[in-house]
Amino acid sequence: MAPPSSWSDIPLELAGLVLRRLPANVDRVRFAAVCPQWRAAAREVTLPSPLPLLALPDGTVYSLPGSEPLRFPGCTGYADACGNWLAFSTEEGCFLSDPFSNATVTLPQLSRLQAPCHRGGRLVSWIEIEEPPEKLTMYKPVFCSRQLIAIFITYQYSTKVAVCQPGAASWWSVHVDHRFELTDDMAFHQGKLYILNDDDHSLFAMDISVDHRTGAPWICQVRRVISGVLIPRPAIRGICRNEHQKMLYLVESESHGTLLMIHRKTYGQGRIGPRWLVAGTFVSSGWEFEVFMADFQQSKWTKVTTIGDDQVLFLRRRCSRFIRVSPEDMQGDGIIFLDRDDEDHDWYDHRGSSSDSCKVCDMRDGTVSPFVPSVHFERRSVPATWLFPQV
Amino acid sequence: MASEKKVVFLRSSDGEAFEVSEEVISAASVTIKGMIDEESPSRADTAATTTLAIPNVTAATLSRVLHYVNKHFDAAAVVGRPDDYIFCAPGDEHPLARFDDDFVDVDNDTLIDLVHAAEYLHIKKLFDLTCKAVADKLKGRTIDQIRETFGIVNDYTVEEEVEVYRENSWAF
Repeated sequence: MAPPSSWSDIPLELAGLVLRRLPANVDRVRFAAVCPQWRAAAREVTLPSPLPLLALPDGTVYSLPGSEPLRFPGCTGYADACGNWLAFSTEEGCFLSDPFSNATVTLPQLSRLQAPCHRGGRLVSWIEIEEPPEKLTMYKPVFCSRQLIAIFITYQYSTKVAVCQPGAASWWSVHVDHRFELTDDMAFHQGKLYILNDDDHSLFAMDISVDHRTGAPWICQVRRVISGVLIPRPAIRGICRNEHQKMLYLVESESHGTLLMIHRKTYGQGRIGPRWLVAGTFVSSGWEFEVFMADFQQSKWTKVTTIGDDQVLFLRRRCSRFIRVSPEDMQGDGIIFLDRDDEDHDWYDHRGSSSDSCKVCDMRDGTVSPFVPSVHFERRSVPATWLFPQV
Repeated sequence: MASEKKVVFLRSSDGEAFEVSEEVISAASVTIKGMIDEESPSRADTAATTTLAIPNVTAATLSRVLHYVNKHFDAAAVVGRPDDYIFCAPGDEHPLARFDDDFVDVDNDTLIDLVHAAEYLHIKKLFDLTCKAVADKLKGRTIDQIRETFGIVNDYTVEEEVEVYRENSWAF
């Protein structure tokens, strides 16, 4: 066997090993586009997940860990993101799109939201909510199965969990005797939809099925699987120093085999009004993260101090994921987050800076430093998001 | 009892023979260890030195590979931890990191010869090192730059090229 004379005829094993050493998705995609042989090789090998893209709503993406901006027209104008899916809400309708494969899933108009109507404590029928579309916003599309999508729809200052089948004419609002908040998060884990309540950290589990006769999704069971603890709100007046703003995230962790709750505290200074922080006055100066593991047996959150040396967590509201990393490419046991991902909060004082960046919190000692190589991007009303290519 | 160190000769594809310690090359190359093990019954009763034919590797490449193998073996002997040290993973903090970086800082033709030699001789850590070197040459490069770097001719048909572009236009 004479060695091949050209680089195009590289052995499959070499292709696999080289691709494995390319954590940036853009490098893998380019590898696979070089020539027919490399393209074929790239399709043959099974690879760990690449690092995500950082996508901005204007269609600019950064393929981490690099910092060169790229144009990705398929990302322009997203409303929200989850995994490899971007959610779009346009005048023509709502849809999900995977910009890598160009697959799209049509969703019902948000105004076509059917909510259960109760009379005398008993569910009697479904009624359609007639809200003007501009008052409705959708967040966090979650695929519960290929035939069932769950989503948060916000209207009338409250948030509903709604489910639909791809291409269906309307959403079905999931009724729980509980008012969800905009700050809640949800995750699909081992066949159930879990919703984390921001107020008291309680966790709900829902079994959702589809009635095959009517096509309507229905909730078999809703249970509070972890009871929460009420967290006191700050009640200070005047100038507040070293106050923190809380954000919660719910993420499935394969290595822990359960759900993790991430509690992000953003410290800073702001002016506190009669009840709450005055809008536009908060300047952040520090971050702290606590990670809790859902212990379903004991119905409680258990604090964990590490997420694993071989993993990092890309954190973004309603769009977070653990990714395995090799120590040569990136240090593990870290949380990579965005300066701001809480677009509905108007706490912040924007006069200082109009640009955001990524930061990393080292779980081993809690230190926060800029993510290297650094990526800075303009702050917009729809926040930047991670986009995780499907492997 | 002082025992003489056994040596073997490796004959490259272009006919040049290289002497190497049997202990060193057996620790490094799975392929050559296998060849030596096959030979050993017939060697036991003769004093003849073994010469192994390495038909896939040229003298230039074989000499480089043996340089790598000897260097790593010697470094391991110094610290007395042969197993975890000889061929520690590329990128690890070890005294040979610099040597390794320089070793693969070569032109692309030499590099691919090293890749194939490491693969054929089954020297895992050298194979990993050369793969890493190839990956480093790809990082952050555009498709055209990669083709230029590695001298790859774009032989897609027009239809294929359109499809490849359509699928990945954001990365072009």
